[in-house]
Amino acid sequence: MTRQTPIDDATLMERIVARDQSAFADLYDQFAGLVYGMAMRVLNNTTLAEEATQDTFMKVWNQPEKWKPERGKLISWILTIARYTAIDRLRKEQSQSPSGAVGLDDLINIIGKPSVVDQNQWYDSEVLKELIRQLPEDQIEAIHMAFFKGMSHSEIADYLGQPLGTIKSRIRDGLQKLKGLWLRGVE
Amino acid sequence: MTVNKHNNQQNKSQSDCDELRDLLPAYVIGATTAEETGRVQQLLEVCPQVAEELPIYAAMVDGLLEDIEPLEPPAHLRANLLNTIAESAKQVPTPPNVMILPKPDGKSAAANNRAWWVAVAASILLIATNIFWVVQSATTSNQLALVQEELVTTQNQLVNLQQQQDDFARLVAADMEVIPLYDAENEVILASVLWNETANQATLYTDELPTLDAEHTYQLWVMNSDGATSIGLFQPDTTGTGLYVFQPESTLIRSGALGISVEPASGSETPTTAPIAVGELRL
Repeated sequence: MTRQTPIDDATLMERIVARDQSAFADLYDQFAGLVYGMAMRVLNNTTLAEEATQDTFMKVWNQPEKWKPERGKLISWILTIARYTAIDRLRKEQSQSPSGAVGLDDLINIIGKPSVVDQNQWYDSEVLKELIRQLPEDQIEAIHMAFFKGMSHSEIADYLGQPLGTIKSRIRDGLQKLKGLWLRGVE
Repeated sequence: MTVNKHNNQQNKSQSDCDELRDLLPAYVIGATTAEETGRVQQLLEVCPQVAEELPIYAAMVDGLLEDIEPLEPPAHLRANLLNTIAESAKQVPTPPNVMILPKPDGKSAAANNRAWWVAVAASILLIATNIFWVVQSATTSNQLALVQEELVTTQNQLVNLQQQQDDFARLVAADMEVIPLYDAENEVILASVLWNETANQATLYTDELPTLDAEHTYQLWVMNSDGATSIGLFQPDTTGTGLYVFQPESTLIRSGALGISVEPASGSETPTTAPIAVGELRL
């Protein structure tokens, strides 16, 4: 994927705020692959992933003014919406109540936090993939279940047949270790 | 005594910050329960040194988000989407679906009663308007299902509104005391208890507490030198509003403080967690 510069993203979104449908088509062409990929990662079902993808882009079309360039990358904002929309759909399909935990606005606020370190390293997701590979398999599994399936500690514990404390430790220790690896790489 | 109190406060702060450090990674990836999320959001305010780690984890989340293999979506999805926005662009935008209810503010009973009826009427008009626009824009079976869902939700909200109006009208019919319950920093009112001595009826009202999962509930206590006595259990509804009506024994609720804690779903005989909201009784 060719990454656009922030000013291009800002220009694109300004046009969408102005209800420019061709700008929206450009947005779709640029990000649909990742959005659909996220939806499939969460839902593992083409019909549901199509619906989640459509819902995601409709949310972007209906409230484009919610993205602020100074708070983070456009791709992060769109994929956060995609992830949240897909997880919400997954829980409905599984007849589960909404997790009630961190809502969409909170998720967007979290990724919008200005970082005290240079984020350029994250522009290459290969760096993160390599760091994640250094974690124990059970920690990766727990982190992915939480992040891509929207499962809480207790849901992961029930699914894997593990004690709740074990799952909490895996997620906490895994992400703390990832943070440490990343900070050592940045220094 | 003063030194011990200071040491105890320091130990509590350290313990709070350790708790935040433990929960922060899971919070950032959305793995916390509703109760844990509320706890993290509280602790972020009191542990700035741990809160500084949040942007670092945020950058990691950015990386996790992009750790996705792009997949080519079906071709018809693009056409459907562009047709949908073209259709929606021809229509008037849907008005915001917001219901704002006036909070009890100590005005006269008649004024409050009128305020409630105005709020109910305005809410009904807004809901009816929303229903009209949702019907206008329904063009597929998926959208029709959404309309049906909206109607059910609206009916439930109207029932809640009526119940709240009935409860509130009883309270404002006579003089009442308002007891605010503050958060740990004593800065934000998380709940209020409206106490009508004549009617021997009190109502807890809140729209600031997060909803809890099915395993937990909020419990209201009166706390004095004899310890903590449970008044009852309550849960905010889907709109985030919590109401609990009770009849306190007048000798019980005269001194001490009211407190709210998070407890197991069936409640507890004594508080098992620190109170998240406390209000001093001065009756």
